[in-house]
Amino acid sequence: MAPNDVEASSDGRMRLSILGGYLGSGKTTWLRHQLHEGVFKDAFVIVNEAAETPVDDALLQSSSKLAVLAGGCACCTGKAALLACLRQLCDARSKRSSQEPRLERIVLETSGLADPGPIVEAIRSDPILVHHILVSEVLVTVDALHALAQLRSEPLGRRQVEIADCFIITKLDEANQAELKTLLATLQFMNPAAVLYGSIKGSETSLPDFADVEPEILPTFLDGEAPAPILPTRLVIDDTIDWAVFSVWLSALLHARGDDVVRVKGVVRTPAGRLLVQTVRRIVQSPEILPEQDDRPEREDNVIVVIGRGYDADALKRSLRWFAGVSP
Amino acid sequence: MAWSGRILPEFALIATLLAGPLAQTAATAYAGCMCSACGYPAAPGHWTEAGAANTGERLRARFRRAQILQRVLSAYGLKAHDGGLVPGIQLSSLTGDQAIVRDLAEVWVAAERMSGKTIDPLDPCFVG
Repeated sequence: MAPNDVEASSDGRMRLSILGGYLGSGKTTWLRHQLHEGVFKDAFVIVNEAAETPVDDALLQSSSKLAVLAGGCACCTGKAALLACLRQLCDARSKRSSQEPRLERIVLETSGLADPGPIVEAIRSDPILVHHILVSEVLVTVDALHALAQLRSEPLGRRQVEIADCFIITKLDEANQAELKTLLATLQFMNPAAVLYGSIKGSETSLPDFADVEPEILPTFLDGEAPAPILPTRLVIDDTIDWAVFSVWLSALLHARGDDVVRVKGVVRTPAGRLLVQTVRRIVQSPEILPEQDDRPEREDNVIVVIGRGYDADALKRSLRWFAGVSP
Repeated sequence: MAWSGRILPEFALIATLLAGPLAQTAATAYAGCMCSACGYPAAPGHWTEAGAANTGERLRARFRRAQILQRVLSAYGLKAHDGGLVPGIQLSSLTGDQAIVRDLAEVWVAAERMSGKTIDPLDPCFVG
């Protein structure tokens, strides 16, 4: 599909594919399907999450080589950790002779809050990494349902689009066709060099013809007009909060604050099993039932990460406790 | 979509018998799941009902959910009831307005219409 088929690089450097895209745009869903299909066979996968509690790695168990960088975006606060991780991979590879099977490809799934631009820049300007790693492509997932709204209001969404070599348009089956065509025309207008692919739950799907559709003219951001930063909040689901409390609270929160609560994800233990809860704006995915056997530490269950803006993080915690009948 | 107006228990019971309580959930059981090869199975039904594994737990969860809703909605002059016999959650106001809604997502829409107020869990009355 989209990734460049590089078996062995001609200059001896490893190829790095950066998979970016806005919060909830389907990065992990797409990558999971590619791993299942063997597209990134033998690649080392690095998953970066802005929140301290990672979730996406639980979905990528089909990759035998996986590292998680949690607690900061790889483009800013997590940049040092990413560079250190990449250097370790370079060191390990350098200890093998070129006749032996060596690591040839790395896939970095960024956090939804990350701008891939500074990541590319950091690798290219690193005196060690530049000799060992070539950023071969920046893949950006674009949510067919929400991307137009994000491009209108989010500077980050535009930066992710501008740096892409390849767009993977996700959730095609749920999109309005007229809006989808406007989105495609807008993406091509913003970044004419990038290639466009369609995807439904990770499987490649053809895109509609949009040759005669006009792109949307996006508003200009004036100085100081950019929205407040989007931040993650970690909520512990303790014994006082059962599924009934949690579902009543979350449904109310998304109803009232669905424009500000951009993403919710986490694993909640219930009598029905370990449920993976994921939302994008007001849309809640049917919770997946994760297997009990998991090599991730137990403490990471019953933690939910709410990513958004326009509210006080402490108010979220106190509100959830109120719904549980516990004095805030 | 909420069905509002005066509740006719006989009608609701007949509808249940004809359609079956799981008729709606079966239709949406696999909405939004991964492809069968690379994903994990998704909990059937509306996402808010995913936490119960069997009939007994589902019934207990419905009672518990109604209890929590009753506490939340009383701040808006509304009552919530789920007797466990018929599908849906029943809402009523002090003025006699009544509605039956299918799930939690519909509760908030109907409750705002009936109370004329915006319901926000981050309202000061819920965060202290």
